[in-house]
Amino acid sequence: MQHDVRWLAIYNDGSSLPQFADGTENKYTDIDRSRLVKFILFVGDTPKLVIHLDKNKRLIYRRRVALSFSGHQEIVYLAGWQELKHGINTQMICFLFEDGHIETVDRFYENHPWFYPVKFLPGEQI
Amino acid sequence: MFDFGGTDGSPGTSQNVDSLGPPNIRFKTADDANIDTNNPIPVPTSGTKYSYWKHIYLKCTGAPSSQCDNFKFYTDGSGFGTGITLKVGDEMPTKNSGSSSGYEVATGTEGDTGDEMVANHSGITSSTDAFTYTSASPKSVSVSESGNIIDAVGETTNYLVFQLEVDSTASPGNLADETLTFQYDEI
Repeated sequence: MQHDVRWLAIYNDGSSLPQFADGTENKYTDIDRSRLVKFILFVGDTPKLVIHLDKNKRLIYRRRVALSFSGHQEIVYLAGWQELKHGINTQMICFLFEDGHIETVDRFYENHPWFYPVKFLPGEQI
Repeated sequence: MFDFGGTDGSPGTSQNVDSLGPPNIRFKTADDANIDTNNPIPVPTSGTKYSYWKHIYLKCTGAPSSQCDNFKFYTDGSGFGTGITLKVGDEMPTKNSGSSSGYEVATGTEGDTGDEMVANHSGITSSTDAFTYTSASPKSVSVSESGNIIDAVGETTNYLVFQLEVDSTASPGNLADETLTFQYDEI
């Protein structure tokens, strides 16, 4: 199920940038963050997670992979945002697990198997 | 991936362990990737016997969308049992798409014991029980590619160097399989 996950970025003028289109893949770093208002994760054709954004919220997205030496693979998708609000770093991160359930946290947690911090890209930093 | 053989800085073989098992790796007193019962590690009457050390790393074989980073290693924390310890070097000798400079050929006496890695591998000055690294407390794995990320086919993490230690309190026989895991972020 989770191997059929893809994203769609929606802009403030109604246009969009799909991860996959016409046999090519757009990169996460191709997203125009200045116009971004929604980030949607689809499983198959079904939207499973919709992240609403404004100009202050910095989108964060990753495909987090656990790969054992036996070849077993587990994938968790994380999507959310962080912003500086009244001088405080505020975060909201959702984790989409392989069985389809979603867990939401108010910040990254060190020493957690899945909720630990990402290495922020320039566009994600505040 | 598991590098073995060859000479220091130039491994003879890079083996994709995904195609070997399970189990995908076997610690033994020989420097090869064969999953067999040859060259077992003897249980000593006193002291410690060692496997030959193993240089293990992740290699990108399919192009990521943009990049992979935030590499970690962990186990289930359970271990192999009394008298048996899997050590991982605290340092991660250099391995990347253009160099295996951190590689040092495993040495020892086949069928008896490998040479202990802290004393004999110049890139390892200390080691830790690998089973102290769990999903809640993993070991960060470094990358010596451009930008310290993996963003192209053929790029790798640095080496993790493993060695199994057996002391006189161990019980003889084949051990049950244990699972070692790498975790990383992809975008």
